[in-house]
Amino acid sequence: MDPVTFELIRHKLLRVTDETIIALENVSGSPITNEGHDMMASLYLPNGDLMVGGVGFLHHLTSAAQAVKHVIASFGEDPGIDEDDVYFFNDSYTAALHPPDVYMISPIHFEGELTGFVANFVHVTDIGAVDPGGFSPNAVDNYQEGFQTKGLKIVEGGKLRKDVVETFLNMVRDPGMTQLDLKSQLAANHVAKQRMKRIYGDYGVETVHGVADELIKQSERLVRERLRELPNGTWRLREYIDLPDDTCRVELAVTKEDDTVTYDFTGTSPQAKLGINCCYWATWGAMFAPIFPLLAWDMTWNEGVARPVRLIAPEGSVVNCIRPAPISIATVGTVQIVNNLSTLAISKMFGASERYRHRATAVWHGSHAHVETHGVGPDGEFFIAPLTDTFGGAAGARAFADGVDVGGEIPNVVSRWANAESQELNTPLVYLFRRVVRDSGGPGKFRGGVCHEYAFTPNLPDGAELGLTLFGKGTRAPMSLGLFGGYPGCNVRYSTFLDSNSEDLPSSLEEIEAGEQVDKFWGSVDLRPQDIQFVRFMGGGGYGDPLDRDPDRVARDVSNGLVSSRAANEIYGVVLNGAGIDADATAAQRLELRGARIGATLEPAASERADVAASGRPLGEYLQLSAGGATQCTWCARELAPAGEPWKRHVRTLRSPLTKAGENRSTDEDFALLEHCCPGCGTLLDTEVVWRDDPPLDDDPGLPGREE
Amino acid sequence: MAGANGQQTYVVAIDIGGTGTDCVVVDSAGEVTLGKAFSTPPEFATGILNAVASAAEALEMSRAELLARTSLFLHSTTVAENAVVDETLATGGILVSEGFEDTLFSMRGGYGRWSGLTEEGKRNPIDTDKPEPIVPRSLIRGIRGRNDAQGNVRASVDPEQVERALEELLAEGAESIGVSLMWSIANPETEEAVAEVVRRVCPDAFFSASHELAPIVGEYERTSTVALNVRLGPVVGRYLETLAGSLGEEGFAGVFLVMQAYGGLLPLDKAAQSPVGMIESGPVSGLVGSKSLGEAIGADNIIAADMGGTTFKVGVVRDGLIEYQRESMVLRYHYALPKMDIVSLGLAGGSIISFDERSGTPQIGPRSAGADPGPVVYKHGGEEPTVVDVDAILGYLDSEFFFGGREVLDVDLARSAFEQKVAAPLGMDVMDGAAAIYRLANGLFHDLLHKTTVQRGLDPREFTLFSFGGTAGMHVASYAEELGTPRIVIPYSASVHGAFGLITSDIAHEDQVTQPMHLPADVAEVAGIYEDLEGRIVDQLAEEGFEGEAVRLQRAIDMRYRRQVHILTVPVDSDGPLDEAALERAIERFEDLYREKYGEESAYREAGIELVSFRVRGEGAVRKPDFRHADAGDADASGAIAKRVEAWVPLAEEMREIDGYDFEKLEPGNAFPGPAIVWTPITTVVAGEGQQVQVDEYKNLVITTSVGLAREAEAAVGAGA
Repeated sequence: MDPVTFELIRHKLLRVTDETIIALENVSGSPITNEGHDMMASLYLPNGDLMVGGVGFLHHLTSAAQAVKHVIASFGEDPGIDEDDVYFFNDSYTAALHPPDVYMISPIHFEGELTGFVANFVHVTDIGAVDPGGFSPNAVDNYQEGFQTKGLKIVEGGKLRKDVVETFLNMVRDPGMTQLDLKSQLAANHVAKQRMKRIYGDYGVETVHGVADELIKQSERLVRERLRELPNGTWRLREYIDLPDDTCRVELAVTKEDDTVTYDFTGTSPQAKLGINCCYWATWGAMFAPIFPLLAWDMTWNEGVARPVRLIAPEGSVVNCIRPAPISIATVGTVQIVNNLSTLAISKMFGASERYRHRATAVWHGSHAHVETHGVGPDGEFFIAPLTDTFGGAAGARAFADGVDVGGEIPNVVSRWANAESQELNTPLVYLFRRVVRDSGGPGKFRGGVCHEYAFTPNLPDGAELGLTLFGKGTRAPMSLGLFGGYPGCNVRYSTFLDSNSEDLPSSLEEIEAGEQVDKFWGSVDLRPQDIQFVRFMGGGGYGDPLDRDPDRVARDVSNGLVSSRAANEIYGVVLNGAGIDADATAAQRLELRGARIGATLEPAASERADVAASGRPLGEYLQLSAGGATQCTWCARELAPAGEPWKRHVRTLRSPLTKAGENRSTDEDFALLEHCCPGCGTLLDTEVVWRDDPPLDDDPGLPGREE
Repeated sequence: MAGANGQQTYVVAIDIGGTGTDCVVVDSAGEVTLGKAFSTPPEFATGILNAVASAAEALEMSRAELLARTSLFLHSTTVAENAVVDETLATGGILVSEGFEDTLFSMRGGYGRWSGLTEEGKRNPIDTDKPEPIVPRSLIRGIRGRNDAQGNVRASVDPEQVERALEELLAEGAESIGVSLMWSIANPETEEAVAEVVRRVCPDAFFSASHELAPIVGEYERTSTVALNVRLGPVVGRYLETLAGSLGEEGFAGVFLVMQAYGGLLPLDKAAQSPVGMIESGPVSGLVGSKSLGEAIGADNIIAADMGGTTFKVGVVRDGLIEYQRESMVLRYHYALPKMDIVSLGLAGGSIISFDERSGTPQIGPRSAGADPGPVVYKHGGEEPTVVDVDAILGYLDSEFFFGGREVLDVDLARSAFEQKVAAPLGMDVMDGAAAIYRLANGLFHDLLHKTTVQRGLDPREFTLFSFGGTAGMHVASYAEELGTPRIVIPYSASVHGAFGLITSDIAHEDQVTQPMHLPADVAEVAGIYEDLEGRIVDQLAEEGFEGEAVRLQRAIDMRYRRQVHILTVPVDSDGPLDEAALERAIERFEDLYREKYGEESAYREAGIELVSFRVRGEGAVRKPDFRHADAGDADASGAIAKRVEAWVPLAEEMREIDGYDFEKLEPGNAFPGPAIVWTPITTVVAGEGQQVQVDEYKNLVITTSVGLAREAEAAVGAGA
């Protein structure tokens, strides 16, 4: 294949996915698709392998591949995959993520021959589950989670099957909007098919498939090369899911060996009673969502990226549940936890590489504190409307820069929220405020991005109620974890204020006065005009030791209202005098805080980073393996642990309440913040969040079989 | 339009570009005179006066004489975008509804981080950041003042609180003030109460209110527009004042009109109130020029593509109307004023070609050699091969004709750079490599153009492609063919295209009322809204000297399907008072337009239709020039053949000796088949195998593609049968 034709066709295939997304956005007038970009469109090969992935929620790129494969295997013969058919698919136990994320799968035929598939998803308005909107916190098993199909021909030979559509719409609460969702999906696939046919016509099916095969090989080669550039080792990570009466662990050991990487979730909690569970393919997709933009940002997103990656997900656990475990909250439940852990795993691998360590990042937007609303609008019609606030996000701090404030998330690189006015145009409510949250970003050498908080009250005629469906995670467990000494971002909060001063439109949390406050984060809430619902998200995780942060940055954050002067003083050790910095007091305070970490009085030199020769085998920001394999602090040069021994067992570890990381952290005593500090200089080498007696996690850098 | 004393009067149009300032003068008979001078930043007035002087000289009069006899002075300037890019903005303070002080800072979440990036850029979030907010948090104050979506005042403005906030902002150094309150567009009462306090506390400060400046739904974009406007206000105001002063000193006493990005002219004082509306008014002038030219030659569906060294700008005229965009960006700042839709793509003649070691494939862009050092072949120090270098290697550029022979071209230098950096790594010889890259570049241009057409829901096969810019003409034959466009026009007026657009523009005021109502609507209420709006605009135009026949009113309604996010602006019959039938027709039009733009399946009619805003555009017709060159004559173009050159033949895909024409010798009516090259003083045009070139009476080059020829043949057969 000549390289120019190759490049020409590659460019065209990418634009096909772009144009499909545009069509999806255009036809769907739904705010969550159009404003939130909760969607995806990709091209697949005749065997279902991912040919070219588009942007949108990236968990779906690989999971939809599995859905296509299932349709081929199960329905290829009966009832057949014929020209201009379209299959409706949303069964998570076979491939999808959760019931409302509907895949629409269209075969692409050229001159009678099946040449591939296009598939897209949107989160449809309703799926007929126990709760309106598709997320079902009240479901106790999968059978209460609405309509689910392993493949249903919704269009046959280009003709929409009225019987199928009407059957489906008969099961949902808001058939008009739901029907529009389906239409947008069909229109988008149509655009992709037209474009692909043109490309097949211009270049020939064989040539185009030659390019696709070559692209897959190329991505596989590139991702393997990148993996080979990273040191071998095993990195261990953990996050918790804090349900109303339960706490689940998701344990991950990522082992990189030569040019492969294995994600092993052994040790993860059994499947939960509530719908946060992931089916296997949801975990598979969730693992990849950060791999594409973080590890494979500069290559084509296709099957080749997936080939060097292996997944071990224990059956019956929250990462590979068994039917009838409920799964409708997976995408903002365990999927997101897996996203977070995958982000951290890649970052830890990068941290162990001289070449890539600058690309390490803490967790972005750890928890979708999502709210679905429903009710009977002023026009007397039943409506369902998700609020798009959760697409605000907050970026994790990076190895070279702060996390972007209210900066989005990793698994959807193009998310955004709708204006409050747009929401109010479509939903009978009034936003009271949307404010950034001071101290919400995880402190660190680089600070995690701040998140926002908001509140609203119904805007309905007297007596009418606005129904809310809540399924929050992260009220107790931090999920936006920090990296290499950075602290986690703040916790999520849901508060319902009953019999409040909503009539006065209080414009901040402080101004809200209420007869009663209920911090319900799971289940249904009926909001009356005199009530207010408040939601706070999670700031991004921090990177590196907060005492290593440039004091000027701290001062700027304080003057911009992003960090409190108390945090500046107590966490960053920066003493401000007015708008300026008291340099001497700051030096003294920082030395004091360092010393306090290890119960010692330190010499001023401890505050300065020593000139430690780089061994070429870094372990994050402040550690490295010496030539002999011992772990060394790169701040003060002290050798911390001999070769082969886990370094955390040889340093000073502090166990503190989560509130040590700043305001608005959970006070749940079951959770603790561990700070691993260099016994020589007090540098904060790493942080962890643990539940009860869970032990700290040890990595095995350079083991086994590291190439020398 | 002769002066009161019977003397000849003139319309003078000045368009400021990056390097040159163009002047077009039109007399009462429609006769056109051109002038040109170098731009003289930062004191542009000097360059402007020089350009006027140059035109005056051609008219054999003094500059002062010409200006004294100028009735209308039309101006388009880049001063607004320059101020944003060069960071020479004024300090502005903003008042917003309490609780929404962080709207600008938050930039709708990740949106501020990824919007404006290429698709490739979006896929790499680690390397993305937001720009600094256009107004920092320290210059934003939250105040009481909040409506709901229905326009009910839910929190009233507290004048004392406003006064305190203003004093703080002024103390922080604000020289201008903006206000943007929630749902002010549904009921201006709140912002009007603020305006009253501003007039009392700081009457001299530049002031903008969001419901007047950008009456759209969406507090982020509306506030951002206000923020940009108040930071531009003092800067642009000083510029216009200085210029008007200089012209006045020279004796100019006519009306000074400034081009707006919505494609109309505003009187100086009005323009100074909304400087954000001047951003990108230059390219918009060009698009208006395309529209006018299209009217003259019978093309009402136009894709106007302007490819220079670093950017490729694309605008669309559909059914004689220019498409509007709602959300625009300058740098990476959003603003929302009706603006003629022009997309800027980062792939053009100066894009650098490289070989990517990792994938073993050639890449075009995203880096550009820009104007400096420029392509290798220009010999200005460029060392990296660009698209233009490939064009040179393929035999298209000719030293004798390039910039009138004023520039030296070194094709050998281009060849060796291309061989070393691209062809050799690809394992190709220079010519094969150049032909392959030419094909690749045309493929990418096609893809980008196609994407912009899909975004607008239009079919390029129904459009005429207008090609502008120094490097466009060497590629358009190929990508137009792939797009299926039947006809390409390379306008004769391309060299002064901005000024041409300016002089074919009309004075235009736009006004609107946002008052969401569901269907069925009360027709009398709607008619009442239009009566008020039109009354205001007619008075305004009368003040500026436009009455009777010279005044044209155009109504439109912003409509949407309820519960959906797309809003469309739909033209409404504009003769006489609005009646039931006219409203009915507008609703039908809305449904048709919606289907056309968003697809057959896109409407959820059952939710009902909502009328969101009511708009009026009032135009005062400005005297138009006659650009007709000569009547079409003989088809024989052989006299214009300058030489035969060995060049790559697009669509035949081979090197061949082909005819090279000297544009200066071509006459209207001349026609010749492709392949051919035409050298004009500003560009080089290449027609491919199987295409047909014709010179029309405006001296435009018109290329009919194989698609167009096939259609003509079909039509001929049809007519014969």
